[in-house]
Amino acid sequence: MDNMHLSSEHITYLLTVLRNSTHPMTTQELVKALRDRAESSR
Amino acid sequence: MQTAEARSEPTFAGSKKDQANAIDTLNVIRATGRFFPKSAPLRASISSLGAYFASTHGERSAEEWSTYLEKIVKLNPDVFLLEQIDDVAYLVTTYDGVAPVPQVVDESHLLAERFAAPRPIPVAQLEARKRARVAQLAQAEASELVGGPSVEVVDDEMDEVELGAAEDLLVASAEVPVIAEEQREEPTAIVTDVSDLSDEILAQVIANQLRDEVSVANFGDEWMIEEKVSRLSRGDLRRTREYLIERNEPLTDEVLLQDVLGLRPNAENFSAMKFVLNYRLSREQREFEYVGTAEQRFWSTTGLPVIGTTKRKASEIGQDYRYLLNEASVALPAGENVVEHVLSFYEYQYGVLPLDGVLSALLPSPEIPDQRAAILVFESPQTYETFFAELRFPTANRGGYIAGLDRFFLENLVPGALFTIERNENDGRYLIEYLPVSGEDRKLLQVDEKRGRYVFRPMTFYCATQEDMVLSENRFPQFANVPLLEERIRRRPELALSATFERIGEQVGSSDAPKFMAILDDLVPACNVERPMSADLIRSLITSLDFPAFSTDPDIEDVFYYEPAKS
Repeated sequence: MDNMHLSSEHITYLLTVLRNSTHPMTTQELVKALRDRAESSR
Repeated sequence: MQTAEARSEPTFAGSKKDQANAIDTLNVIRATGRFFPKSAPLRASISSLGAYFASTHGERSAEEWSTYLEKIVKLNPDVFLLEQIDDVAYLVTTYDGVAPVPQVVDESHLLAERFAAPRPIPVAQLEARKRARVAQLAQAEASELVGGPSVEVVDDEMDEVELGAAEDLLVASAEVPVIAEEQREEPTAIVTDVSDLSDEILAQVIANQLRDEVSVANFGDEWMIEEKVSRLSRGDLRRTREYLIERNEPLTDEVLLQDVLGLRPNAENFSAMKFVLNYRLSREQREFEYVGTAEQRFWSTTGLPVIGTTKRKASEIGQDYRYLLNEASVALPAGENVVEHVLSFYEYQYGVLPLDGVLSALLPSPEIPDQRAAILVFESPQTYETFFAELRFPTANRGGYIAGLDRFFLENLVPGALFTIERNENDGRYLIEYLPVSGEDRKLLQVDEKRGRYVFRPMTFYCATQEDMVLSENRFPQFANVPLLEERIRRRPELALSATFERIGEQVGSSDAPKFMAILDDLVPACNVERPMSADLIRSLITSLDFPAFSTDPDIEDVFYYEPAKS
C-alpha cells in the first residue's frame, strides 16, 4: 500500500472537503466522502 | 670626526674624456638610486641617458650619445653592464660603482608553470582484484535473534574480478545503475477508481498521503486544515505542564481541557478543542509526551514518576523480551476481550508482562508514529484498587511489555498464579482478576537481595496457581542458596538455558562426561527465574543446529538433554 497513491484529483477533493469542514474529520469520514463523490459522478 | 662614510671610487678605462664621461654617467645613475642598497642594481635606459647628455653637453646628438655610452660600458665592464629588457637597452651599475652580479633565478621550485600548464591526470594501471574475505551473518532464526547469530567467515575464495581500461569501466558502471534502479523501485500505482479498494486499504492510502501534506494537521485518526487549527498560547502550554506536574500523573486531554483551559464537556466546540489540544501538544515534543490510546488520550511530561520497577532498567527488560519480536500475533476469538496468564518468577520479580502474541491481540497499538508507550488503567475489583501501568511498545531491537504491576503482584499473587486481563470500557482500561482460594502455606522461591542468592521462604497466598509453574522447595530444591546468574550469562538465552540444565537437570552422564536431562515442564518455570523464555523459544534453542550441546530425546516428546562442552 506504500506504493499506492491517490490521483491528484482525489487529493484536491479531499483537501477541499477538509477546507469546508469546521471540525476535524476522521479517516473514515474522508473515505465516505470519496466514495460518495465516486458514486455521484457515475 | 668622520661625518661621511668613506667611499672608494672606481677607476675607469679609456681616454681622459672617456673617463670624465664615465664618471658623469655613474653620478647620474647614483642620483636615481640614493635610497637603494649599495649593491642593488641601478638601471637607466641608454636612450634616456643619451637624451640627458645631449641636453647638457651639446657635442653630440642623443643617438650619438647612446652609441658613445655603449662604448663606455664596454670599456668599463667592472663598473657597467648592458641589459636588454623588452627590446630596451639598459645601462646597469650599483651605488658603489661595481657592476652587479647577474642573479640566476632558480625556477625549479616555482609553481607558476605548474599552475599555467597542469600535468595530465595519470591513468591508473588497473590490476585484477580479489574481493576481501568478509564475515557474513548466518541466516537468522527466531532462536538466534535473542542471543545474536553466530558470525561465520566466508571460506570460499571469490573469483578474481577482471577489470578493463578505465574508460571501459566508466562506461560499464554508467550502465548498471540505471538497470539497478529500475529493478529496485516498485512502480507507484495511481488510484483513480476508489471502488476497487476496500475501506481499510483506502483509509490507509488516504492517511499515507495526507500525512505528507504540509497544509493538513493530523492527530491519530483525525484530520483538519492546519491553518484552521486554533493555536495555544505559550501561557496555555506552560499551565498545562505545570498542572501535570502538580497532579503528579499523566492526564487525559479531557481533563486538561476542563481543568487548564476551562472548557466544559458540554461545550459545542469541546470535540474540536480536543483535536486542537492534542495536535498542538504533539508539536511540543520537548515538553509533552503522548502516552494515550485511541479511546483514552493521556499526556505526560518530564518530571512525572516513572511507572515500573527500578530493580532493572527498562532497556534491559526490553532486551530480555527481544525474542518476542519474532512471535506472531494471535487473533482472539470473536467477541473475546479477555486473556489468561500464568505468572512467571521473572514477571513477579519485576512486575511486568510480555507483549506476546496473545496480549498484543488484546492491548492497543501505537496511536501516533514513534509512540514510545501508552498508559493503561488497571482496575482490580477484588482489591478495590485502580492503578496505572505502562504499555511499552516494541522497538527494532527490544520487545514490548507492560510495566507497573509489581506492587499488585507482590501483594496479591505468587509465581505460578493464574489470573485474567479483560478489556473494560475502552482500549485503555482493563480489569485484572485472579481466582481467590483459601489460604495456602508453602515454601516458595525468593531472592535474598543482600546475599544475591535464591532462597526458599514460607509464604501464605490466597490465589489459585498452575502447579507446573510453582517454584516450591519440594520441586526445585537445587535452587536453594544458588547465586544469581551473572548478567553476561543471563543476557544470552542459550547460556541461561545451559545454566538451568545444570541447576535442575538430572545427571544421566558421568563425572567425566556430564549429561543433564530435563523435561520442558520443568525448564519453562526454571528458565523464567532468570529471564523470560517461552516454551517455543526453549524448543527452538534445543533443536537449533547452532547449539549442538542440546539434544532431544528421540522417543519421548519434550524431554531434552544438555552435554556441556569438555573444557
